[in-house]
Amino acid sequence: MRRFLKHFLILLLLTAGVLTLADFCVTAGLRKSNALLFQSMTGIFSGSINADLIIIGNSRARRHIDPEIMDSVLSVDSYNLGQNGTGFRIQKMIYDLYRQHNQKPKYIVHIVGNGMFEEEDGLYERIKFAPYLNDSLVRATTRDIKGFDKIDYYLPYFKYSGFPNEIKGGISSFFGMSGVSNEEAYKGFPKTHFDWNNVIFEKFKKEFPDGTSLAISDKLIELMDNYIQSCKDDGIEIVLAYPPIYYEAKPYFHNDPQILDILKGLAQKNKIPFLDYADDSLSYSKENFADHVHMSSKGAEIFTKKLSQDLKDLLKTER
Amino acid sequence: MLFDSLEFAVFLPVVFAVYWSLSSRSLKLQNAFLIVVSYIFYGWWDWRFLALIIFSSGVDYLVAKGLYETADLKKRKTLLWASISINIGLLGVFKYFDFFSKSFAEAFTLLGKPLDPLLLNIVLPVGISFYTFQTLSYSIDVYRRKLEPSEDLISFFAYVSFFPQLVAGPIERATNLLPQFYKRRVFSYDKAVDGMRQILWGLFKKVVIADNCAGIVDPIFNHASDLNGSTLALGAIFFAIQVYGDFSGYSDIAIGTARLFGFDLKPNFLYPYFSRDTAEFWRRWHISLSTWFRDYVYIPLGGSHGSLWQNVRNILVIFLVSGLWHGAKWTYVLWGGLHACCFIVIMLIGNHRRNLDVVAQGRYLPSLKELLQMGFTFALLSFLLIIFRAENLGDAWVYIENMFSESIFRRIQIYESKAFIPLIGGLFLVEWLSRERLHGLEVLSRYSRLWRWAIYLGLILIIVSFRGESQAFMYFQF
Repeated sequence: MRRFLKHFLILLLLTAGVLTLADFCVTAGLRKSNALLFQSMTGIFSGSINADLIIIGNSRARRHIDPEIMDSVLSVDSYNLGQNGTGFRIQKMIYDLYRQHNQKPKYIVHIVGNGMFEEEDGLYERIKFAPYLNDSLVRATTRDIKGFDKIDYYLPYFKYSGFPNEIKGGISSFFGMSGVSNEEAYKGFPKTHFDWNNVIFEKFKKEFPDGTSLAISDKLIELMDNYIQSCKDDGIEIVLAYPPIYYEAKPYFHNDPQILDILKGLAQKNKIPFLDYADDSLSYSKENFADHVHMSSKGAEIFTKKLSQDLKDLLKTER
Repeated sequence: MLFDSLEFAVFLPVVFAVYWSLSSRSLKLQNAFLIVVSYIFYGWWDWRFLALIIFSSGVDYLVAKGLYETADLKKRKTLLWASISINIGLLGVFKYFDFFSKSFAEAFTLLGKPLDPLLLNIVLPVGISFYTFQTLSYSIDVYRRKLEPSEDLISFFAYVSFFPQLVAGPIERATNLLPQFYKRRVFSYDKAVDGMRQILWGLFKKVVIADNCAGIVDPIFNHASDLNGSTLALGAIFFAIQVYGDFSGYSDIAIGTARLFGFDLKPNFLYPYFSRDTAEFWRRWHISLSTWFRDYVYIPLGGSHGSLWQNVRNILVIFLVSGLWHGAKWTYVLWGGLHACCFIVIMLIGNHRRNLDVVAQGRYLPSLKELLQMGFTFALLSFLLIIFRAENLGDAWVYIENMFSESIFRRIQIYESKAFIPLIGGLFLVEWLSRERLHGLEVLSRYSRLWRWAIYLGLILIIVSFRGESQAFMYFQF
């Protein structure tokens, strides 16, 4: 028995050692990865973004706003910090992390939407936060949202469990080879080509034949109100923008008007601009969309140009 | 409690330490401790259903005592039927009542007399099909005088509730497992180490292979009408691998865990996908259930004796009952029925007892003929598993119809991560090399310590890295 316990203990220690080493390599690799999924977090934590204008929001920010166009129209250095599948709680964390590690931006364009005030019940693309679980803010925020298991916070390497591609990418990046995927991104904006894909909308209609109402959390409304105020107090000009939704999908979102009213109310209360493109002419052409809520590459280009022109009139950009 | 959960990772070492610390004190105390921890293990899921295990154990303990004490055949038969009725009754109420009630009502509706089915809507207690079969076999063996009834209540209750095999088998016969509770267990280093190896291999099969396959299989079966034939064909193959990884993985963990406590359970899987025909497959797949049906249903019906018609009838009965054992659905019955047809065909051409040895015994590679036989058998098994996996007969039909459409020549549409797929090759390679042994890692005992430990660490790293989305063990639902 003693021999068995001794060997078991040695194996346990060796396992801990191997996992710690693997954790070190993958974490260090992903923390310098410029792959699409990790680019924003790498930029935020390395303090290398320091943009004049940052775009915050979910996938409707990430996939709709091309900083390359925005830079050329507004003559600023902009960066897209949009994160897929996030509600306001994670968006606020992104903003706070950005402020902790980068210089204060002059402008924020916060892309808002109907899922804004829904408490997240899962952490979408959670793996991008895994290398930063030792950060107190990431730790505290992600703990409130289902995503990581308890052991992921305490045991080495377990946070990468089930993500072999990212592990491989992390190790490659650690040894100075290319990152996780070959997908290109420019300042957080994916350079992937998107065209209309009927399957996604059909799937949505099948799942919600009678439409859906998205939850509204009073806590998140209050959090957003405080965030706008603090941005203003810090001298940051903040604009809220609501991008187009494909017109056939609108009847499926029952409480969209209510959410829009809340957002407009927040903007009004804090005396900040609210750019409403919900019913923009872009909404009426399938060509501008990849699915019912995300724009195609063509639509995103037109929308970024339109938004940039409107911002030009609003923001006191340096020429 | 799931074998691949954090709770079990804490539970097992604690139970192991206390269990062996009791070995020098008293065997009774050690067995009583096993009952308590087994009930905790089971109660972790739903403590209310513990009453069923206690009831089933109590009934068969008393029935067996009664059977032993009387020589009166009529009384003995009454007692045996009491045990059968109570155990099958429990299964009937909890597992099959709603199914038969609904089917009865549907039959009347078809005849133009609509009926409202009486439904109980009760949750199916985990493991009920396993432990009721275990206690039932005990009473039948005592009735047949193959076994003396247990005088030791604690040992008997520990045998029925023994946690490694309580919820998903292997279904252990009292003749094998019960005597092990009567004797003092002596810790064996080699046995415990090999048990750990088997647990590790089982975890790999479940956590890496089965759970990752589930990630591909579930969306395919849920959207069978929208996908092309090639994707559906691949979905069927992945499901065959998933169900094997899941259930044989569970059995490996169960057998390995039992070995840590000094118990030897019978093997439940012996590399079934290296079978050269479906008859050989059934000698290698879920062996504890197949042999249960053979000994307690097929042989009492006459087995292979009697006329050809009786033989065919007996085979049909055990396969249909075996199908129904898996669940209260017509898909399982049809799956069993089709397997019966395959078996009958092999039997009629006189080949059902041909492949009794291990394929390519003493050779590294199979012959071309053996390879083709294994390939055909695997394809047939994967095809039949479509019916097993489908929600209902309609879904199975849609799946098969779409699979055999012209779209079978189109490009496969799988968007989930495929990084684990080379590991399936690894699984089959290791199992091929180990096919004359009891589990995939048994061969490691012949390697030097350095190699052994490097393989353990590598496998642990693979399990943690490639872990699939956690799924409950499939056979829990049966």
